[in-house]
Amino acid sequence: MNNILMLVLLMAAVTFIPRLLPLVFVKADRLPAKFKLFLSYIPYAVLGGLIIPDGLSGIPGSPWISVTVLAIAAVVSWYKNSVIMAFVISVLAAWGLQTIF
Amino acid sequence: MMMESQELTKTDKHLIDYIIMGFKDAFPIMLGYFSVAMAFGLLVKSANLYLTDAVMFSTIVFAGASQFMALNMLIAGISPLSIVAATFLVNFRHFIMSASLGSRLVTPRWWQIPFIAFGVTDETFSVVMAREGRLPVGYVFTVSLLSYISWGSGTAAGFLLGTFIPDALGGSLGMGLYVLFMSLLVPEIRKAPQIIWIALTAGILNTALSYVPLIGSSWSLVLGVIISSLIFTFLMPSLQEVVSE
Repeated sequence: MNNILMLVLLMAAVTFIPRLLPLVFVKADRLPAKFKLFLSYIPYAVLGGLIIPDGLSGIPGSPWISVTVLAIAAVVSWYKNSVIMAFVISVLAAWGLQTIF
Repeated sequence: MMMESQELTKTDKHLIDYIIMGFKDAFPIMLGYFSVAMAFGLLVKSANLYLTDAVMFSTIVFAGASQFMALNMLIAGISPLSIVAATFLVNFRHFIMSASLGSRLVTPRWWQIPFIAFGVTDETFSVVMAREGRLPVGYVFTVSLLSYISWGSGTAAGFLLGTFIPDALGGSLGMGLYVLFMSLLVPEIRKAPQIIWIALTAGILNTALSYVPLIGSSWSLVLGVIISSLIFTFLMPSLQEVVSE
């Protein structure tokens, strides 16, 4: 077995096990209400933590373009709840801004 | 996603409906993943490794940030065990996401659990959790499978073809993943403005904690997410009616 495969398998194990255990043990039907509430907040916290700070430099070396593109995405999504539309408009804006500046 | 506000688990819905919704929701992830994975494939090639190595990383590990990190550590000559330890730290955030997903998933059959678990990434998690109500296994699996295929094929494409996508477009599609996060978050904030505090607190904590020695950027996201969610569980129980199905 070559070294890279060994590394990949070990990485896969330490990545997969934390993804697996909660699904084996967390049963939606029998959770305390407070804990369910806590779990229901996690997606919003995750989104916040993914956008700040990494998204602010999503286009390497162009923080201002990154922030502008995020702002465009926010405005579009506020008025139109369509991920696809926000995605297309923002990615085109990102492309345009990078090409111009 | 026009159907976003619809409950997924209505009795008149069939597996095929869930698969179609999965395709729709996975589309932005697929574009973003393909271009980021191309960058990964290209990086593997520039490290003088093989196509099979690149594809093995992406199809066996399937965790973007940690793959880039591992590759950089490998190039720097860092020992494999350190790489594995770092991978564990970086990917541990999926533990908390799986727990949150588990609380919303239609109870899966035992053999389905490993497939759902393998597909939990920042992006697939965020996208499926933006749907309301209980999440059917077929829907969640469709989103992860398409994301997985895109990640794997993007990796091979990047290795074989290099940057046939212009840099600016590739970068823009990578930025598209953050756009995706924003477009999932903003409609929720519009429905329940208090959500912005949960997200902002997590973001600020993530940023601040990443500078703390021993925590660093590998633990900061997990801690930021847990602390923020905990604070607001006790501070904002009023949100309960809005977010619970």
